[in-house]
Amino acid sequence: MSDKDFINVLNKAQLSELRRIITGLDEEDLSRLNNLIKDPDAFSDHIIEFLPLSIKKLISSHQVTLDEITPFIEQAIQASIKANPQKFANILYPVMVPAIRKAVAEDIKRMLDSVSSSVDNSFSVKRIGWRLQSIFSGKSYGEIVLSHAFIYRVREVFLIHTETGLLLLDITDERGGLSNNADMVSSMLTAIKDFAQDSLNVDRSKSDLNTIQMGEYTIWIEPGPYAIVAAIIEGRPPEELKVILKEAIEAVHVNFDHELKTFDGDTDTFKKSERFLQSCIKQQEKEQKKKKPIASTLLLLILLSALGYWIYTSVDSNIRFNHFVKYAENQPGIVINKLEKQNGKHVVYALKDPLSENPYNYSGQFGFDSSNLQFKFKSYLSLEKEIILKRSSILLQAFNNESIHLSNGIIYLKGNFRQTEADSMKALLMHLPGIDSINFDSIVKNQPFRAVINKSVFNIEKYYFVFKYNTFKLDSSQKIKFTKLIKNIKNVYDFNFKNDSIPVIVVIAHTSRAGNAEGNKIVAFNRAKQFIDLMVAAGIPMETLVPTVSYKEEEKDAYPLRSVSFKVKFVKPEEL
Amino acid sequence: MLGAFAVGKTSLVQRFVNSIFSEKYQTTIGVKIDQKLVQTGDTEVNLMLWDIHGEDNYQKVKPSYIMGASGYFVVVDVTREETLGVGLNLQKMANEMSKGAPFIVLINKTDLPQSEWYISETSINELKDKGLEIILTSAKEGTGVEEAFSRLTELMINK
Repeated sequence: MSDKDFINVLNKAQLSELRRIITGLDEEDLSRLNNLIKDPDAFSDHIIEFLPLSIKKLISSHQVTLDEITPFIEQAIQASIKANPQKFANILYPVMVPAIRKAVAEDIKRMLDSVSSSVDNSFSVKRIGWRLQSIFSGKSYGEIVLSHAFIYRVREVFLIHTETGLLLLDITDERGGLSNNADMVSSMLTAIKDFAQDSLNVDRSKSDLNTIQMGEYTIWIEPGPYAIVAAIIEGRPPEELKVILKEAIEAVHVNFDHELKTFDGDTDTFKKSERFLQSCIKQQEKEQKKKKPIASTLLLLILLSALGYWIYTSVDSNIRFNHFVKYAENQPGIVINKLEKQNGKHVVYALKDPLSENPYNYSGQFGFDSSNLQFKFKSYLSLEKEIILKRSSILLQAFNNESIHLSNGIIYLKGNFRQTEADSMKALLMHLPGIDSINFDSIVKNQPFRAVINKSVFNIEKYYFVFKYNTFKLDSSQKIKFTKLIKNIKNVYDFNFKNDSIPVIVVIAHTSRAGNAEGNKIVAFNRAKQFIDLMVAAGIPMETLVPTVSYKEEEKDAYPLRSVSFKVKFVKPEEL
Repeated sequence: MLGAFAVGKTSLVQRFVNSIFSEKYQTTIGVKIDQKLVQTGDTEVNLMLWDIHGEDNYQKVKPSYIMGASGYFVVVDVTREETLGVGLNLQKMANEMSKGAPFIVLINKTDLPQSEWYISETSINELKDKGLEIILTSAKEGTGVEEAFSRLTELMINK
């Protein structure tokens, strides 16, 4: 019995049971699977959750490498971009814009740093040297500046096929390549390498040209079995760079082994090796010595000092000016109305009593003079106590008052005044504003006639002055005595005698009859006259002074020889 | 470009390209390299031309310069018979070094009167019969130059 015959004899239930035994699935499961396969949408929905996991497992188990997947992804991206560039632009927008912004910011910063550095060194010897270098080398000045800012920079990297000398890939730094034609340079490099090896007749497998030095440029060549990597370096590269080049050529060989072995002149394949070569584009900036900004610090200090000094002088000037204004305001006869500052000069508008002190007299002690201070005065009459007293004193100059003071509008005068004087003084002062009344309470009142005159007369007649032989000079004690004499005489003379007689002082010169009596008399008379001259000089009217001579008749006479004494007489005015 | 001394290799290259390297390279390291983009059908080919110094008694061609070549010219001066022998010897060496890369023999200086030709048309035909591809060129007048480079490119691509 054939299989077909066998199936035909089974009923439906038996067939289902047979299926279950063979597949391990019941009818329902099989039906579900059948539906799943028949419906692609449902099937794809079903496996969608397993696919990423499967790919992940494939990669981690190295069954599929990223390099194998990458071309598909790249193709997919390329196709997507081709189909709808706008969509891709929209996707990249959030990434690209910040990246562009950052790149632009970096470039601007670099440019600013460069400019800043250039400015810093503009006039330095180093800078002049760079300029000369620029002129002689034919390079731009910027290039020279940049070259001095780096220890080394890898400017260009070639990946060259060893056998053909053809350039597989060429990448440069952001400043662009140095070579005019990378293809030709690469071939020439190969030729030079071959030439060096052939010329020295060395074993190619063991020796290789790996360094070419050209002025400030160095070409480092790192060979691999099928390709070499050559880096054009500006400056002095570190040995570590060789390791980087070695790693790059190794990576190229690992990833493009087949392509290198079967190279037929098509270089497009090697564009993918750019990332390995890109790692060789290195540079190291010179450590910029932190220059001590001596000049700028000094300038700053000078500016700060100047500013400090200006602030100090301004503040000090203001403080001194305020003190001065306060002082001036406290001075009698000055009223300050307005303060201004014009062209750096203090201008003070004030009222000034003519009798007040000129403020310029004391402005000096506050550090101000006419160069920085100007007064604009208007005159006024001050009623301040000091000014009233000053004004009163000026008016009373003719009077012999001992003291004067003012209180509550009352002038207090002290001294020996006669009534007539008091009346005159009163008449003068009462016209002055600020004075209400004058108090003469302390004026010594006139005493009864006899009491005063008799005392003074007694005093006058008590004095006598003795002179040495043939001389006429008052010694110091005599001068004191003379002053007292004059005072007493004035007391008598100042008294208003009215209808009484006028006082006359007889100046008596005492002498003797011994020897030439007549001659003695002349000498004595002259002495009396000389004394009268002294009295006149002291303010005694001459017409009231009478010289006379008296002979000393007896030893008991009161006045000694060569002395002068005085006698007060009262005569009628017509007898003068 | 291979050939005896003064057969016109550099002149042929100069006819074809603009060079960035000075000719003194040839006398110093023995080779000067130029570049030319050639359009062959839909394909653009970047030709790197190794203009190798002319071989004479004093200077021999360095085999390493030929190693890796995709194709080459053997240049012969039509007015100097001995240049053909030198050229053919070089071709043998080149064939070995380049692992059988295609080549074309260029009979140069054909602008000169035929009375001065030492390589007769008969000899040329004989060479052609031997399977060598031969093009008559004149670097001076530009005759056959473009054709020679195009043909070699074609041969290299189709190899």
